[in-house]
Amino acid sequence: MGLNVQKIQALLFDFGLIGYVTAVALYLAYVFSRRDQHSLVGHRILWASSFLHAASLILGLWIESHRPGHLAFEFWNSWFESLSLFSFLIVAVFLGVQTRARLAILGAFILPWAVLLMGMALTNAFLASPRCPFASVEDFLKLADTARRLPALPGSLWATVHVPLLFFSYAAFANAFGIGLAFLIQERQLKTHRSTELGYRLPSLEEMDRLIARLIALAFPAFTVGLALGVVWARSAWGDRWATDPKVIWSAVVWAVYLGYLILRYAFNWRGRRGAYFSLAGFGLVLVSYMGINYVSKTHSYVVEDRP
Amino acid sequence: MNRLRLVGLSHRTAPVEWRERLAVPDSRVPEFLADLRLKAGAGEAVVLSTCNRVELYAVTPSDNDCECLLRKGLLDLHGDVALDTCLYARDDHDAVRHLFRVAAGLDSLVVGEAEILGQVKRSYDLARQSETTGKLTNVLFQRALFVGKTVRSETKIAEGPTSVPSLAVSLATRIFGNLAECRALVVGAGPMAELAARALKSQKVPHLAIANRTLENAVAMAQRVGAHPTPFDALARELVLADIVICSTGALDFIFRRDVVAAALDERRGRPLFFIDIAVPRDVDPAVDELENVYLYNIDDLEGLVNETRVRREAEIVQADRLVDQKALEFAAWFDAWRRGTRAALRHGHESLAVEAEPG
Repeated sequence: MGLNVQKIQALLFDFGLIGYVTAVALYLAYVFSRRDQHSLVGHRILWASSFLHAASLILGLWIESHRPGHLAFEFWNSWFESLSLFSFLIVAVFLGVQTRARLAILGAFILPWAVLLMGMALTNAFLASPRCPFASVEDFLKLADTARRLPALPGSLWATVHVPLLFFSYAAFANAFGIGLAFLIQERQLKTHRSTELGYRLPSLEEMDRLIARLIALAFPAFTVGLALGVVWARSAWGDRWATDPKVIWSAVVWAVYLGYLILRYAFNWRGRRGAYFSLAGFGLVLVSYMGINYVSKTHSYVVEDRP
Repeated sequence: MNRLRLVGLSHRTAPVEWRERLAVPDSRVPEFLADLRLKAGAGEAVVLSTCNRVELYAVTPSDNDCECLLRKGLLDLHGDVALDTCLYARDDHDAVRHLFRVAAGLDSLVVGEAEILGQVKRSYDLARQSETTGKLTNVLFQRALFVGKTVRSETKIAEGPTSVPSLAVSLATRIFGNLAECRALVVGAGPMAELAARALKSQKVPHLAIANRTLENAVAMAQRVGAHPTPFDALARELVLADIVICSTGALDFIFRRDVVAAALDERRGRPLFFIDIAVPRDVDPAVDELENVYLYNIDDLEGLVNETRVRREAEIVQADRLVDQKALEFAAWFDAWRRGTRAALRHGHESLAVEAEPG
């Protein structure tokens, strides 16, 4: 069973990635061409490829959950799969933003990050099993399938929810980061009295400021619950050691930064440029946590790193 | 064989005193066109009369010396032979290309301006009501409107604001988004202030306060534009509520100093404040610009940006001209077929709407 399903899973991932790259190219072209056609087609391709990508992720989950001897899903514990999930959620949150506000131009600031993460996932698969890039995804999934049988983490349903919740909040933070970039460009042009075409086409400061605040306000509860679940689980699994884990400490810092943003924004009216800097700094810390700390933290380093 | 002829004058060839003498007011168009038909033997005729141009498009049999008659038709209206020197004439494909350029705003004083497209439509509608249009002019003018829209959407010829009031509105939109949720304050009751107030009112700004040293003037202007007069000494309080502040008083000293604005900002809960200072000497202390969440533009800033837009638009002319040439070429094929009496189709871009030339 495993072989064929993994082939399908890999194919779905590959086509999803091709779709994302096309959509991003169209969104970037839209910035310069200002033809609505570009953003409309880009939007449709993005929807379609996000479905393919979602199918690939669900298939992976399904394989995991049907493996004998595994009580809980341990689908997220490889670089490849977590990167894939992360980028999918960035796209999903962006599509959510799009249904509320028709701000296609923001796609150019948000979606490249999703594609970058997908590219990293592909690179990761390629490094583990260097064949042609797309074929390597399939090879990698097979590899992961066997490697995962090694005892990795004490699984539990909590741990399974912990990861997607955190990645959802990361994805919302990534969206806030992209909008923060656009905000700073708009703000800078307005303040210095210099305007390029891009300035005339970006959304207004107030709209972007509200979007950033709402995204962070929406993600923060998920982030908090995700962290809390992790802590509860870690305490039962590792005992008192949990509090000294670098990932845990770093995440507390990230949590405090976003909490600080929300308090300053809603209680002390910290709007405008300072809020945008927060959204940039917060996501920067998230990336350090995700890309950097995982190497330091023994409990959060991903399995399926090396060739067996 | 039928020929398309154009005779006219524009801001490029004639000063405004001459243009206004040749202008054909809407009310006189039916009479003028009917008269022309009679004298010049024109089968179809449309007159495009704006403050920047008067142009006459007519379809006449080729053996007539129509140009002379058309010139005469235009001049007869006002009877001044000296004007003859500023008239230009184009025939057939050149006339088509000229009309397409006009519709695209390429022949306008401010390149790409949108008004001309409405004026072309209006003159075509008037000619249709006067029953002086026919197969060729119908297809030609509908095509010209289509080309005008296409050029504006496919090039950047119409991008960006080109006047101070429209720029002020566009900057305000970049800060606040929807102006229907904004409050505005106009300080000063002169003509510039009124122009700005009207521009904001047309953007559905719901609450507009007008302050002036002489309250009566503020009251009078408030009545004219539908705003609320505010006493001058209430400005500090108004600054807390307003989002857009337009200043154009004749005051010699600053009206808004840094400390006044800073105090107002503390109560604004972080909402941005947009100052448009079109007064000379300035009404707003330039130091106000150093404050966070404040955007201050004086008249030089605004005019600089307006000029930038114009320069940017002019840089697009080459590309727009190429598009017009291409569309004129497409039309020429249809035009020739129509004249030969053979069938030809004219396609409307992505839509597959075809205008067929029938034997005629």
